[in-house]
Amino acid sequence: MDILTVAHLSKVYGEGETAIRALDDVSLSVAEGEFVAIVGSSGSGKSTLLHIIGGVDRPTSGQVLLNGSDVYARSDEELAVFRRREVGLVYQFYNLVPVLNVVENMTLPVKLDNRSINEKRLASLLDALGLHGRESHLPSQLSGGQQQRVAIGRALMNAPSVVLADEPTGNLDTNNSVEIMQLLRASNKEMGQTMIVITHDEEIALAADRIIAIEDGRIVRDERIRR
Amino acid sequence: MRALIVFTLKSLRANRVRTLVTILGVALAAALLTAVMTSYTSLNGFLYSTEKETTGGWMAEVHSTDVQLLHERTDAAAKAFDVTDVASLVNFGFGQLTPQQQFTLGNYLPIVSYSGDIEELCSIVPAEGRLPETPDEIMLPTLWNVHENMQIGDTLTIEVGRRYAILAEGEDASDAADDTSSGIGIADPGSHEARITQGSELDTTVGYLDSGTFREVLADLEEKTYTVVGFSDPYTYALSTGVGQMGVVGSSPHGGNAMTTYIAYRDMKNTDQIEERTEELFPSESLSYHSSLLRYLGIRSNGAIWETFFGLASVLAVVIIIACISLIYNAFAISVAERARQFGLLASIGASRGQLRRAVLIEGLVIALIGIPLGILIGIGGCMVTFSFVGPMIATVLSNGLVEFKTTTVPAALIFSATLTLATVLVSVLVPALRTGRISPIEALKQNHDGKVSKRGMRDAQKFASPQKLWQQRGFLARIFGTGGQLAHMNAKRSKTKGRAASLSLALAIVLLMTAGSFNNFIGNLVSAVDSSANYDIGVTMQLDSNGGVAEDDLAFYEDAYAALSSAQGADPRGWYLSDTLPLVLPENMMSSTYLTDESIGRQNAGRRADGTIGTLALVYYLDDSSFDAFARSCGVDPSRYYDADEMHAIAIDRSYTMYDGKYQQVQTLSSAGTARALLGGEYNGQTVTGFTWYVGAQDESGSYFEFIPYTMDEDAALDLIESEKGHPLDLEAFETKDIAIDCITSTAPDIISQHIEAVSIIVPASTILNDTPASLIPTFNAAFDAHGVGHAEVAENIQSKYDEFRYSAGRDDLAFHSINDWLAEAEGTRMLAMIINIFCLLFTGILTLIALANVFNTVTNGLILRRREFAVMRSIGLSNRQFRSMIAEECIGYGIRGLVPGLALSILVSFLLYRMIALSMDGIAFTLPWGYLGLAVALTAVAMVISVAYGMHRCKADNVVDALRAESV
Repeated sequence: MDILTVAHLSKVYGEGETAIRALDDVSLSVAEGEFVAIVGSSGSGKSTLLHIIGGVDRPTSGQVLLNGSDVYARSDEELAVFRRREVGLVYQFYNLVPVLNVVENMTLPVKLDNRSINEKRLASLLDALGLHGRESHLPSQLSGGQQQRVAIGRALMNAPSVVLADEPTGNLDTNNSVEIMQLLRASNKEMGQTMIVITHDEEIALAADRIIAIEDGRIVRDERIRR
Repeated sequence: MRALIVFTLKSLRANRVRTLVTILGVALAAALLTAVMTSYTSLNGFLYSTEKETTGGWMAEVHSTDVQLLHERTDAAAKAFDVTDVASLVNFGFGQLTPQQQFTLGNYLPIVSYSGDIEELCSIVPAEGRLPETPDEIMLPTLWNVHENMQIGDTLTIEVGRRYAILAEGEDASDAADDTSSGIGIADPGSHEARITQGSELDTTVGYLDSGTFREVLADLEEKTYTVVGFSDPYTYALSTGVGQMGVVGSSPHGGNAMTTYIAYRDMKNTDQIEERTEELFPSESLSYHSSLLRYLGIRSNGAIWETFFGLASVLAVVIIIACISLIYNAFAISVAERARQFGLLASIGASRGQLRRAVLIEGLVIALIGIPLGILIGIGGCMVTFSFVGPMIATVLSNGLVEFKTTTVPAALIFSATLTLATVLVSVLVPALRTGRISPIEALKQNHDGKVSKRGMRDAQKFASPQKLWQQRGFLARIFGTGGQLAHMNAKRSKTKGRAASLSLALAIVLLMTAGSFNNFIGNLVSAVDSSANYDIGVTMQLDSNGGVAEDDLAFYEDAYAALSSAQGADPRGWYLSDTLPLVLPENMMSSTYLTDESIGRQNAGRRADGTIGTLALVYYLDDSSFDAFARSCGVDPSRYYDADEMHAIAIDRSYTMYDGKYQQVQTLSSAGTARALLGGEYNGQTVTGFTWYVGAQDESGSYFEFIPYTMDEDAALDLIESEKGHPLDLEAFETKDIAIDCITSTAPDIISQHIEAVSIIVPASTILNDTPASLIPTFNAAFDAHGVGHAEVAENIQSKYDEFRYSAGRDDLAFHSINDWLAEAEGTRMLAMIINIFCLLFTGILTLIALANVFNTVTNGLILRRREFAVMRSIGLSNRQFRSMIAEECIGYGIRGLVPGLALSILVSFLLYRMIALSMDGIAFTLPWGYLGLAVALTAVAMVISVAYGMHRCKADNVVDALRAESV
């Protein structure tokens, strides 16, 4: 069953002669529990695609259906609710809130939703992410790999329909990169978490179920990896 | 270097709004400083012109009776390299006037010949005709034209003689050895002190001797004839003497009794130098200096009366400079902080720290280069516009419209304000520039400032990590603002900067607005206190020459006078009264204790007598009957009992407002009603008592004591104190006395009676003056009129002509003096002064408000813009717009409170300082906080904050989440 459907998505930045077509009639669908890697050169439009799926950037035209409902039929306020419940975002530069400690950062989306925190899930995530003993640390007291693990924890905390990761290993050394990919893979395997990861590292991409390549705003390749 | 300039200019263009705000800030600061300096130089230039116009441009005045020697020295001085101009007046004696003429023209007509440029140096300018050229031509004071009907071309024949001092009858020469008399005038007092002995000649510097040890005679009379060639008006310092205004004749080579030389120098630095030089040129003459002119020339800078002015000016200057520094500093600090990543980038591609610093400095210089000239133009333009409205008023108030008020710019003052602004810009730029140099390229690129969280914040973060405590902390406001508020609360608690810049600018805004408010308040007080003129438009004062007492026909004369004056066209009669002093003895409990004990007021006309009763020289007002009845009724008492011929009743005023030692004070005189005993006269030690004076006796066990001394007056109207053998206390039973029942006390006098005389005042109906008049009473008649229908000046003229008619028809030759005062003209002057001050206060407040609000806008807006990535992160994980707004709202309230509290504390301090400055020259004003301004200040800052936040949030939203997040990829 497809959890995500993207139909005829286009995004144009700017106007007239200086207009840049970041996405050009992109259509794709992702099944529940799938681990998708999106590859492409810099400026190919892969981050734009991810942001539009994540509900932070509106498309110029086209549709995004998540769990069968149209993402961009929502108001700004509903979109904010969508972001905190339906998607989890992971960035290259972690983007943690500097004044919040590890657990506060992780539970912020739950808090924003005014729901009570699932302590069991928090504990198991801390365990899985290897962040035990660092609960009260502030982002500035953590290494890059640890910060990224907090960011992943934040993305997973709400058990979203889909986790979107934009070059999650782009700022990390090899060891940390491997660890982070293993974490993402594990949450995909063990919790059935749907995962879309942008990377430019073919090796990392090979860990995915499916690789989509984008160039000049169009999908140029979409292949499933048989294991 | 070129690359840096290009980079700087590009970044200035890219941040157009901020560049504009910064330039505007610098321009505003420069404009304010320029306006302050220009106001000062313009006022100074105006005062200088006024001073020169009325007293002449002389710097030093030399006086001597050795005319020959002074002539020689003056000629020598005129050739000296540093003397620009010399003029002399030589006295050739005093023209004798008839008693009738003395009444209007002064005691004599002093005759002086002149040499040199007296128009420039002494401001002796003919108002009509020309200056005399030969010794038999004369320029007379305009009074001669008005009162004697002298015309140009007329001949004046007059006995001219010399003044000599003679011992008054019954005086002992040995007592008089120390009797000195000082000259009058604006120059240093006492410089013309002349020791007077029997037979010594008196010159123009000695006032007319009509009391004391000596009298004077005019001797060596010689008849002179002059042709009138001109009239001088207005009479100026050099022409006025204590014995009459001078007549000026053409230069005569020989003779003269006394000579005065006026000198102006070039290139003098200070008064010491002028004094030294003058003493060198004139070693034996008596010297005085034109200190007010020298002050406006900037040669002399001290003087007690300027203390309040300079105190206020320096408080304001400090506030203005702090405001400007903060405005410029904030604008630059934020611009640099925001561009930290750019600098990181530049550093990463090899820009040295020095180069980065220079980039910021260049930015500062570019902004200064545009902002400062713009500011100076705005400042001068603002002054010109303001002065075009206010200038004529200032000219009217300060120089009677004699000199035009012009905007005067002095290059040095402009350079000063430009330099101060530039220095402020450089300091404001240097600090962030130094900080820029310290950031490592990677830190800057990552914008991952370690310093974001404070140590306390880290401890706080530790506390709230366990699942039970997670998200437990909530500030008071967070409860209202929900999750967004809670985030704001945590940010405020843990972040290092805590929006300090915003709080600081808010605090500053409150201080600035409150300073302006307090300034307005206190200045308003000062102006209203200075406004002590009468409650009616035109006042007429006169007195009959008498040896004491008021006869029936005297009273009738006054009543007739009032009726006659009331018939003047446009005059609306307000009432009249007769007043004089009256020695009173009061029981101790009637007198206000502060009136007796407050030594600082320097009061001497009341005190405790040796027997414990209080003696005071009170003022008695015989108010016309109908006014009195109205007054009594307004006090809630029946007027009829005050007409009781057997028992005297009076209403007393228990408060007075006076100025002493340059300070305005409110004084309570009486504390309760009671019966006072008035001393009327009688026989004492075999002499007829015609009046009482008083003295304060020496200290003994009971302290000093106060006592009256009876005196008697001989035919020559000379006072003789009657010595008491018994000492003190004076036996009151030896005199005629009368008990006065003071049965009503009120704090407000009738409108036409001034409350600005510091004494116990009692009020009785005028018709009772005929019952038991004190023998000593020589009352002054005062009548009050309002002008209606026509202008007050015209009414004053009508009253004057009615007075002349009445005086002629009444045929009383014992009229001692009279005067007609147009109080409305004076009140108008005060009103204009108040308006001038109000306009300046308003401008000052306006500019300070602009600075304060611009500052708030800058810091709040930029504080938000700098955090836009943080906001983008939160929004990308689901922070809704509503949550975002409540988070910012809570943060702002937080800044507000953190800014408000210290701001209020500081502004109260500044208010108090201003109050102290005002209190230097004024007593009796209480320190009050300007609550209205306080509310306004808080409201204005709140509005500024809301606008800034709205703009800041708009900016944060405008660049969407993706762009903000992407900021990491430069």
